[in-house]
Amino acid sequence: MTESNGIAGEADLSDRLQQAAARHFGNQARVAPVSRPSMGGSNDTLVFDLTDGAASRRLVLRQETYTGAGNPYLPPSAQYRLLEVARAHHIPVPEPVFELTEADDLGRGFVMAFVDGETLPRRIVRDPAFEEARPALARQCGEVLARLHAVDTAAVDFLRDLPDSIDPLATQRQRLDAFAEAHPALELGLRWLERNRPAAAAPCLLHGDFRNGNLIVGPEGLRAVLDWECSHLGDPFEDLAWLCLRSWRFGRPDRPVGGFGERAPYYAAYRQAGGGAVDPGTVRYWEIYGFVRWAILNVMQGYGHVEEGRSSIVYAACGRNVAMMEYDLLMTLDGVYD
Amino acid sequence: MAQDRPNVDNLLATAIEDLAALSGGLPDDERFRVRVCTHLLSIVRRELAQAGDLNAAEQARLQDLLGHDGDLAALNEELSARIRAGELDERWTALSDHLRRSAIERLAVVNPDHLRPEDSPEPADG
Repeated sequence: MTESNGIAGEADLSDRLQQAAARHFGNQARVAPVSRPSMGGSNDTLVFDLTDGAASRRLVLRQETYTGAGNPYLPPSAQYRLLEVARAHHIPVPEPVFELTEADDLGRGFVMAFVDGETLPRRIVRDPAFEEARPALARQCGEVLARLHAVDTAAVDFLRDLPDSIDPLATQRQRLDAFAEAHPALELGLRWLERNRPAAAAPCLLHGDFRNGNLIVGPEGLRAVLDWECSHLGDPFEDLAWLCLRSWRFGRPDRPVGGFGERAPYYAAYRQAGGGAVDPGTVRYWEIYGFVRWAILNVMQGYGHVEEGRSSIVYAACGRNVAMMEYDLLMTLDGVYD
Repeated sequence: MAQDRPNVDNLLATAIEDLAALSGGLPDDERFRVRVCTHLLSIVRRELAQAGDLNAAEQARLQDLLGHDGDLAALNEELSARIRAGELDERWTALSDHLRRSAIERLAVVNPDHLRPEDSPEPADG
């Protein structure tokens, strides 16, 4: 389901990756492609084995795919920096290995370590193999977010001027306007958000897409946090709330934290790890924001499919999925959904 | 032009049924793609059956809310602009009711399984 990255076919890609590996690790390094697991939102993903004599290591190539004018995602160089920062703060992420250079002729991207485990949300939510992982995961997510939100923002200065870091509400409105389709339910959400703004919080480093689907999980719990391309600075409750959106509960709406956990232990773990007390009203505010933001990201995919040549059956479906987020938004505003 | 049997609804239902049967035997990636295609065709089938009634109902509610006639797209543009300008803050409940109805109607076409049972349409025949 990945779009073509417009660079090379599979064989060509393999050749260039081989040359890149030789450039970064020496001439004896050999590359063997393993799989292409991504469904391609913002980046293409290729898993490959790097062999150097007797030693072998499984790695992942991430290449930028979406380079349109309205592209809301961070460039790969910023994602790479974030992996380094996260790792330095003991946040579990795949180890960044090297950035692609112009000589590699593979577009913009980087190589990181492969982390084994489950990422498919429905399996994480349902599979008996993760019975013990689920409650542990909710606590670990609270701890990881507390550590992330404590990072000195001077280390991520390159996020300071992003529209999302400056004014999230205005940014969502600008995005919605760019896609030229009337969405009165989203306007209602934006108007409510405007009239109910919580007191401004000191801006923190946010992951920006911290949810079930971007977590690598083993039977013991969380192994790595993926997909840092939406990272920005903002209210820590924005991250805390995003994981609780109904959109990521995958058939278990009764378990608000990612479909795998309860709110109380998640909030308690956040606080115990130094993240401060969690005000449920502020979380709710950012959940409303989350539905609006998630809906607009889907409006964007529908627009890209129809208007920008990023044609794909998945993006076509995304355009129509907006009705789901609007329904959840309105039900949450009415207090019917938690 | 009178077409012969089967009608459009039956053609789509038949194609959807066969694609669904086919998808079970495919590798993961292809099964996923066939399922998305089946989903898109199911939207088309429900939209062909329901769009006329649903659009008329939405238009009538919009005319009530905004106090004048107009085509559906123009009324939705106007509603969006007036919500943003804060002109409907005093009519929040009526506005929410309308938008909830509209979301339910769109979901009845796009993904009826996403609706709460109390918001679900009558089960379609056939």
